Amino acid sequence: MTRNRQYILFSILLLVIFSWAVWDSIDFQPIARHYPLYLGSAAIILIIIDLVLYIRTEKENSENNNSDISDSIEWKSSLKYIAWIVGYLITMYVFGFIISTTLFLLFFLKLEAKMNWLKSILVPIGIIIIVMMFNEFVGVNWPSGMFDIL
Amino acid sequence: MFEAAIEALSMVFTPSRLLFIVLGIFIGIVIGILPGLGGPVGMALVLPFTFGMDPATGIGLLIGMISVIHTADTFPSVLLGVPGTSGSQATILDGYELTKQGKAGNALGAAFFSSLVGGIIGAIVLFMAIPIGRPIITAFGSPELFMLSLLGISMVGVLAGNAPVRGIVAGLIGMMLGTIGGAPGAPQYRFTFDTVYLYDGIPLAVFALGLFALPEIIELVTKKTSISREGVSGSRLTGIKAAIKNKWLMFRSAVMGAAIGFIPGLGGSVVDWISYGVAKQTTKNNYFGEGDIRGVIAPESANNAKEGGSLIPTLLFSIPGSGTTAMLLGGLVLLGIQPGPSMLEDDLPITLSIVWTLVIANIIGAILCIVLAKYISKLSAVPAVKLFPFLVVIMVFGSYQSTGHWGDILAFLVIGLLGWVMKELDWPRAPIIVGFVLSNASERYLHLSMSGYGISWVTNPIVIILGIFILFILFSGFFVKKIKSSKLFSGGDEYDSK
Amino acid sequence: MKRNLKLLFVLTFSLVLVACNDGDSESDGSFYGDGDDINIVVPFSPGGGADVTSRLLSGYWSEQIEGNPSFQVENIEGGGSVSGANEFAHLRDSDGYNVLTTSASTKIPYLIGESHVDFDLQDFEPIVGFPTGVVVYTSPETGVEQASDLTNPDTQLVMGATTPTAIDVMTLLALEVLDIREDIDIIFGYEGAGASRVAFEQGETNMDYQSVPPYLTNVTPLVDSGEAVPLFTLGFLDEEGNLIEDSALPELPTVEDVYIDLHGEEPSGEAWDAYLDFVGVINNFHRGFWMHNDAPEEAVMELRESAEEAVNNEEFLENAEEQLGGYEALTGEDLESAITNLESVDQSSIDFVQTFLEEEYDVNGLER
Repeated sequence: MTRNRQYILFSILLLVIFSWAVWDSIDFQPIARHYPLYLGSAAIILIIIDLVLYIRTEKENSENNNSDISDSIEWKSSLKYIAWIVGYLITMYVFGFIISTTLFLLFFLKLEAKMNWLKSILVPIGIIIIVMMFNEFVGVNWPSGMFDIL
Repeated sequence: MFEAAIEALSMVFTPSRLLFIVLGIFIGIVIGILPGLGGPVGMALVLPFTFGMDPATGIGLLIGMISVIHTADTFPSVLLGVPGTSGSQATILDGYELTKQGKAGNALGAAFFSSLVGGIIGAIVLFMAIPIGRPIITAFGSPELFMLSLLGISMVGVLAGNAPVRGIVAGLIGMMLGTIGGAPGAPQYRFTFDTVYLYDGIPLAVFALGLFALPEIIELVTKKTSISREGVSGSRLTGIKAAIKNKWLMFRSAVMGAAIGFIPGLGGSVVDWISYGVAKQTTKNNYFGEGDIRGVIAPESANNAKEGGSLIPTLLFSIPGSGTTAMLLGGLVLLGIQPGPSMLEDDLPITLSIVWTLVIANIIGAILCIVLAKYISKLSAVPAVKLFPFLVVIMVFGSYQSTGHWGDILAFLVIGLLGWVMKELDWPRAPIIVGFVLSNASERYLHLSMSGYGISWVTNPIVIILGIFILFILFSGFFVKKIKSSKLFSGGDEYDSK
Repeated sequence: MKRNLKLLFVLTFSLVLVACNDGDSESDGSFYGDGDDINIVVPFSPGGGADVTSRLLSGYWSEQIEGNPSFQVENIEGGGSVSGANEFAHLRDSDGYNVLTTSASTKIPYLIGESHVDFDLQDFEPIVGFPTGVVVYTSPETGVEQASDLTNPDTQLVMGATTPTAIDVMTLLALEVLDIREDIDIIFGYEGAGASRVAFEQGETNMDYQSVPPYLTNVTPLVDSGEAVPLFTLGFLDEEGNLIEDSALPELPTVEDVYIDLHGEEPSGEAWDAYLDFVGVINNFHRGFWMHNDAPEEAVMELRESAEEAVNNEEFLENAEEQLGGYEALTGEDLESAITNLESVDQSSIDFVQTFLEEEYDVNGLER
């Protein structure tokens, strides 16, 4: 997907969301209605203006359209790291913070940071100990999962 | 009043009290450094221990802590691009940029020194306000507060930079996101999808972490370098010297910070944006956003000063100016002190000892941070790939501290992805957070102004003054640009190196 | 070999039995042991009124409990203090080690049936409570010198309030009973009672109400300097269900007194019945500490008795005076009658209030 397409797609997405918000706000009580209604409407107008200006300037600089190829390599890399984060959170949802953090740190350090096994295991354990001490002395909590093991 | 001040100073300088101040400072530094843990968390930490303490010691602990949070929160903002607390976001724009250029030392040195000066000025403002505080606060009713929040919102225009339309849309996105939750003044819950989590809206810490921090570390790890691509150099001394050179900027940012913190109801988390925006518009030949050290000096000075300012309504009126001061109020009550009119009469020595504690804690805290800076800034040389998982864990953990529900983590992820997409597509994000923070306040005060006064409030003197100030700030940048570009056209280019 | 094994088995088994028995005999009357932690769920932010009261009380409370367990305050904010109560109801064990703090703002959503309320106060056992009264006052600019002048003020009466689904409901009902509500311009949207008080001081509003502790601290100086005029208190319910004066400000008339002044007869009707029912729960039992119904009976008794001692401790009373407004805590019989109040809230009162809020203030989402 070229960068231009990404930009246009995002703006359209914004338009959809704002339109829904404005639509929803019509049913609000009068006092609560003003802000979402007027701000949202203003946003819709401005997004359209911005989109039009963008398309116009991009048409004038048509040589720059090829810049997206190198972008997509980084893009894929970014998506990979986002996937790591999402995986971590899903694991946390199921197994809770302690286990998921241990696994996340362990696997990421090993696979991505290419640390050796020893470090990859010791470091997560160290972190968990610190977190537990925080909980003991300070009382901060951590997220629990569906199967609350730790 | 001056004898009382000297008496209070001798009260503060007892060894046991100083000990607790230092303890408070250590706690404040840790809270400031860890993203997502702000003043409220620190307070929650410390409050249980204050019960049963004698007031002087307890105050030392509490005030010692809050004085330093906004000094230490610079560490993650500058070194990692992750806001340490919501008061330290504007610092990221130039501070983090400087780190990328390898000048973390400069940024930190300047920031800590500015924090020190700002904190002291805040304490001075608090001291001076004691006799005149009540009438001033009384003069700031809903219309005036609305104009102040409008001033904050106008920063959106300043921060939008080269893409004004996108900047304004970003501000509107922020404001719309701010409407999520209960409406001020009407029992209407907006856009909550029937979840209890969104009843109170998205928590600010989660929002800031997601919007700024998550996209930053994704980009970092994708580029597979370390944060500072050119090694870690830059000396703190250079930074401190730069701060001293810009002393007028430090001073006026601090005064502005204290003044805005002074006004109850603005939440204080826009102080750094306002001072950044105003500085950007009023500083000659600036390159804010590209590593201008002045873009660090202004917000850092302001956000420490604001603590002093926000103590004025807290102590005099029992009205907290922020989450931190709300809890401080509770802490004072637990210590047997009742904020209110008595703080100026029977309890004046306590009030003054608070002022002194602010000063002392700011000085000690800044010195400590300057010393620590050398070691902590080495973090910016660590390969991002190794830092990434820890930062993710810290951010998720920090987000969860907001309300302790899974909603925090989910919101963090969603906002984070939004922030990442916007970063990729060159949408400015600073206006979003400004809009978000000011959405409720501006709506509330507009509603109260209209309900209470109809339309006549527009002619209040302070309202008019603030209105002119806002216009000045917005358009001064415009005029400066016009002058610059006309010079270009006529061939005289200040960037020409001849 | 087999005999040795059997011996070993019997020995181990008996050792285990002895160990278990030892554990049992430890209790000998005291439910809590040394080093135990009792968890207090406070559905408010640290430093707020309910939080401070909880922390203050827990210190003295813990001393009075046999076994001296310590209290751990757990703040769960959100949903206007409803989230914490929800969590307590469903996610905290009823093992005697969990207590809930509530304030008026937790109980009102429950009474009026707000949809996000997922707990039932009838599932809880009250342990100790604190009453808090409410005072309504006005500015001398309105020309109103006493409550009976409210029907013909010199200027439009403007009152600051927060939201119609919180403790403001009580004042709304009081004004409705007095039949002056519609003549007052009630501006919602202030960020809490503190903010509306400041608005009063600034002259943005000329009428306000506060609960008694902040009134005593912050408004009494204004009254003394002639900048505020106290009007009436919302009062409390006595054991017979009558409205009685506020013990913190007995010289001020109650809603009932004002009604009699204005209309020459005693109040009656739906609004009045609903008002009495609500006062009995909200004002009499403003701040409450509860445990689950099915918590061990010993724990409940132990906590009730020790609370009774703690709230009579002189030091506690001194420290807590500003927080509590000098009221006596609800223990023993008073606690019993508070429980009765809660159980005897009439469905018709609730219906009335719900309809009232829906029609007058556009509140929606109330479940019946």
